[in-house]
Amino acid sequence: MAKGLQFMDRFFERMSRRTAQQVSRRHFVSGLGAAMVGATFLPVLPVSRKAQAAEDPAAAWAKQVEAQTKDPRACNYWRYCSSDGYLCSCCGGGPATCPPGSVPSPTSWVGSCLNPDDGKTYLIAYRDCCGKDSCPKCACLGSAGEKPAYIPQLNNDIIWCFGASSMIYHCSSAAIVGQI
Amino acid sequence: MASFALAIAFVPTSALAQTPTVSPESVPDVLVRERGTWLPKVAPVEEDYSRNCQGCHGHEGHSVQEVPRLQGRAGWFTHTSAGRAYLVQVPNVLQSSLPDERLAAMLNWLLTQFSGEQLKPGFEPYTAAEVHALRAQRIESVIARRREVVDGLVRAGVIPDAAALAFSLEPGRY
Repeated sequence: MAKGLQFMDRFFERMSRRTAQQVSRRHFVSGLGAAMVGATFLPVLPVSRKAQAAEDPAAAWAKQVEAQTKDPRACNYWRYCSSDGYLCSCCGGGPATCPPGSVPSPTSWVGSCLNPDDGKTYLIAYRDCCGKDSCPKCACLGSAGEKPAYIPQLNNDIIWCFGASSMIYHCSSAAIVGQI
Repeated sequence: MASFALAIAFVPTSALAQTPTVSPESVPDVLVRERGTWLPKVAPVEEDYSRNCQGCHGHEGHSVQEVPRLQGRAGWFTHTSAGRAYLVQVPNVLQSSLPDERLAAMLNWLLTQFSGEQLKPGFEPYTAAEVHALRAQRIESVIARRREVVDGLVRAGVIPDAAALAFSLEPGRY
């Protein structure tokens, strides 16, 4: 037993010495070794795994549609994870601005989406733009974190023009409330 | 701007016809990326308010006239035990998906945040146990109960008249 251990000891010593002599410090093998040691400790680090949690619907949506941060006229723009309706960005407005002739509703519902740029989750106010005939462009159907209509404050099928001067729905906007 | 114009030039004409051109400058995410701006973190208790109340009550505790105003008013309810119970038993508070502890913390936060001046002197914050007990009792008619509670506050001299805590800011309702 002791002999076997001595043999292994010598074997690994010789191998590591040879590696140290023959392989440059910037060699791939040395990098690989460091990476392997690092990888063992990586899962232990106290990083937030909120975004990776399977039950987070916003993260699941972002992964499924390959959410992006560059084109607010596409359904997979990161803020639209819970947006159900026509995108104001396609109707002459922006992701958080109403097109001319329509007014932002004073009420909205608040959900959250994952920003793929920084991996952080942001609260998003889904605010409908009202007072003008509906703009039938870029219909998107996000439903991350949305609740059934009997919990109306977290539902996106209803028209969120409550409190606005006109209840006519034009399009849906998505304004950032803050980072969580 | 030149590179943007160039990019537009290569966009297929069919796409151009469908979508009105939006300057990338108008997309806040570009500004965030290029200027390195960042948003302060929303505290968990504030997040609970945002997700569950803010949509209608507004981020500063006031919104449209159809929604009861919290700012500068809600604290008055803490002057009587009936009022204190009412704040927890209002249907959307009672039925909230928040657990008792977070609901208590959220109520304490919103009362001090939006209506600190109206709080009963020496206001004792809600505890999870108190919220739990109050949530077990449902109000039959929220309008009738509100009227009782508000009348009680008038009798106790907390508010001058019922109009000070009218459900709606629209005159003549409830």
